[in-house]
Amino acid sequence: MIADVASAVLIVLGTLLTLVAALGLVRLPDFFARGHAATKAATLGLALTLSGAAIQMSNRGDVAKLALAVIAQFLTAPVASHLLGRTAHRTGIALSEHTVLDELVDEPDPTFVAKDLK
Amino acid sequence: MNVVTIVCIAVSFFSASLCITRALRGPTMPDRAIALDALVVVLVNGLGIMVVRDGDGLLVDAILVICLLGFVATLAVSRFTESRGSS
Repeated sequence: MIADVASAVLIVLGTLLTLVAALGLVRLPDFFARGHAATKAATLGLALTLSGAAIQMSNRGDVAKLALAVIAQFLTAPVASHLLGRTAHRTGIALSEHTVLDELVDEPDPTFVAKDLK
Repeated sequence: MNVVTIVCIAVSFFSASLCITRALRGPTMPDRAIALDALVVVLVNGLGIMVVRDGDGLLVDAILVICLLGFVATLAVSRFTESRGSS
């Protein structure tokens, strides 16, 4: 009974956080803001939902697999988001007009390869 | 419990439709990539809800595999975009 209630609360919270991520994806003005919303909120939402699922599991191996999925998401989501952000900045995607400061605008990039410019 | 899972799955469908909207509309390639990445997360979220609903571990392997596949796909799109331009 208590496990059911805890799991229901966790999956509702997780689903609402992924909804927030999707809303941010549609509403926010430029790519960097969208990536910020999509990565952080969706990762935490997924962690909450999978914790709610793990409470319901009777098999210990299934709990371990769900924990592994959460850990994988926590490790890979920032990497993917950072890679996409780097690509976006290098290929010159327009920032929103509300942007206050772009520190990388005239910073030499040590890993930049000249053939990518064209 | 049953009602909660049904409502959560409906909300997940709505989130997925928002992600697909951005993937179709998004002006540049990284926008589409981040939208599809978020769509994978919404999908895994829905699978997690289905696990709670069914109460058995049949879908747990699918969750693990789709999580990792989503990362690899985003990485591939990012490398591709960096060499080809993002229009």
